[in-house]
Amino acid sequence: MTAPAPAIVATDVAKLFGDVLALQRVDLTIDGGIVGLLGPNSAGKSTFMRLVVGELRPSRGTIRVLGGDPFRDAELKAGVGFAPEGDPFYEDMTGRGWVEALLSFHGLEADAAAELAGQALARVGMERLAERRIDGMSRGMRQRLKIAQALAHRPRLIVLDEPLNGCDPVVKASLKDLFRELAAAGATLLLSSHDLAEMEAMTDRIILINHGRVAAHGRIDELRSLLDRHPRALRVTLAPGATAPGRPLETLAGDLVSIAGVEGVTIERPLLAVRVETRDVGAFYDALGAIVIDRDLPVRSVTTVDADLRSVFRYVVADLGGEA
Amino acid sequence: MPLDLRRYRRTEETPRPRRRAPPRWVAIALFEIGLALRRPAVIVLIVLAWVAAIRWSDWFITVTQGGLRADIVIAQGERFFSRELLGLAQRQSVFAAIVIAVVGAGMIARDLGTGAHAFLFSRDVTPGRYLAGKASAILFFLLVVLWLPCCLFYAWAILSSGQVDSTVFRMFKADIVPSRLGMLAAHLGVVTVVLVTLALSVSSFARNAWDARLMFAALILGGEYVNLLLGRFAELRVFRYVSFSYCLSRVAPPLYDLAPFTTETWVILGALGGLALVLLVVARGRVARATGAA
Repeated sequence: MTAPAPAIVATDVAKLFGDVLALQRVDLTIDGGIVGLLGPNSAGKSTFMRLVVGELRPSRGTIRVLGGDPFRDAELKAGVGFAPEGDPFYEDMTGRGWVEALLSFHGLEADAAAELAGQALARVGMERLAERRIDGMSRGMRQRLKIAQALAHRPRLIVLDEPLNGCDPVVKASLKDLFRELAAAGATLLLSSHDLAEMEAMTDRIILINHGRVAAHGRIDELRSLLDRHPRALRVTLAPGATAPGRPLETLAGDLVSIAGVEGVTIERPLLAVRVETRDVGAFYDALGAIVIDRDLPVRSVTTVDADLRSVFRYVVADLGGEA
Repeated sequence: MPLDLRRYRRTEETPRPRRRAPPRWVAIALFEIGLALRRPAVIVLIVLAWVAAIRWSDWFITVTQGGLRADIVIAQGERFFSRELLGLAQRQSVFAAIVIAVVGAGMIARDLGTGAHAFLFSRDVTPGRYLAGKASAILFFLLVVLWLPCCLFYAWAILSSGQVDSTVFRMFKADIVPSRLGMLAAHLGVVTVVLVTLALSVSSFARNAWDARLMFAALILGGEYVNLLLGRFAELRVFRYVSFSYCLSRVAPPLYDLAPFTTETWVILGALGGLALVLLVVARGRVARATGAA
């Protein structure tokens, strides 16, 4: 038995809109699980998604989806579900009617479409709201409706552009659970977002994209290793009401700046903290212990302030000469 | 019922519909027809078109059945039926243009303007299938307001013409022949091709449905206005051919009179056919460009 083709294989993909280079040099293989596509607005996330679902054709390079060319092989789209970022519905239809109509474009007969639509709507918690006209639906309901239509035909690859926009926290949590279930069942989900924390909570595999280029991709912990190329930021916070003699923040800052590897020290008076940028975290922690004991400083905590995804993203984008 | 997650198992084959699927363009056409029929304005227009057709047919049938004005009919002699049929087709063409302006002109513009095409083209839909579906939906409405009334009128006239030995039949035997149906179909065919291709093309250029309707109306009415205005000046009469009704008035009568086509008739037919082809190619190109397929 041959192994199934990867969900997405992009090879040197570029996309031009007139003179505007929306995407360039994209080489990616995506298969299985949830993959987050992260980037600021106009980074090229939606363009990449539209290429994946065959709505656009690459100006250069090739993109294979489920082993085929999504642009040329329309039947391949039976295996792909897509929810675009906007919500351009036919407003005078009901939610159920809309999902059923889209299923009919896959060639499903009315009874089969009704059954699948009902299941998908139930899955996103819309079974009781499905008979409502779309123009009377809230933003969150419209968002769920979009997701329902994307997974209704049970595709192997589900591409969702900003799927959690406009959803309240409860709905977000249930949708995240749904995405994890789908991924566990073998589907590949490509989700885009500019909310880094939200994405980090959903997946450990991300693609950072900026100015139409893939800045980095891989597991979040792998991407965090990019931090090693930059000074790490740490915050040393003193206990409230510190009774150390003199001016403890200034004293601490003065001692910390002399530690080997430290490149910058900033006093954050409102936080009663000192922010330190260092290239040698180990040496910093060793020296900090000695300073605290010698000065008898009431240190409450030492925290890493740039080990989250946002920092990775900022650094990577900065490396590419862009703005996060 | 929970979603059957086993369906997501990774297999080489792409998930296929469970039963033999109807053509995708049929699904698109049915979708568009359903959407249009939700609008009260469309229903009102269809009813008006039928009332007009029935009124016209009723008068004609009353006459042919020896009604009050039979003497006038007899005085008009042969070709009476042809002229009545032509009149009906021309009047229904006006309704058809209005219905298509309301229903068809905005079909593509609405999708491209709002971005709804992103949903449609993420399905098993190509620009060709998309256009075929939209064209089929427009054809459906032309069938309802144009073809059906005219053909029923024709059939009813034959049925009510009595036995072969009746006076009415003998009077109109030159008109009431099956070949006349071919003439009618040819006339309606020209109207249909022009309206469908014009609506699709205009719709693919407009940014929203209302713009498309206005553009469609402006093109039709603009041509009529030019015909009205410039028809008076002999040296500018060539511009009368921008009028749809004028072109039809040069094509239809020879059809109904079973007269041979003149050079002018052939030129007009060729021009309309060429125009329709260009409009269709333009619409296909616009849709393909908007969906990135260009």
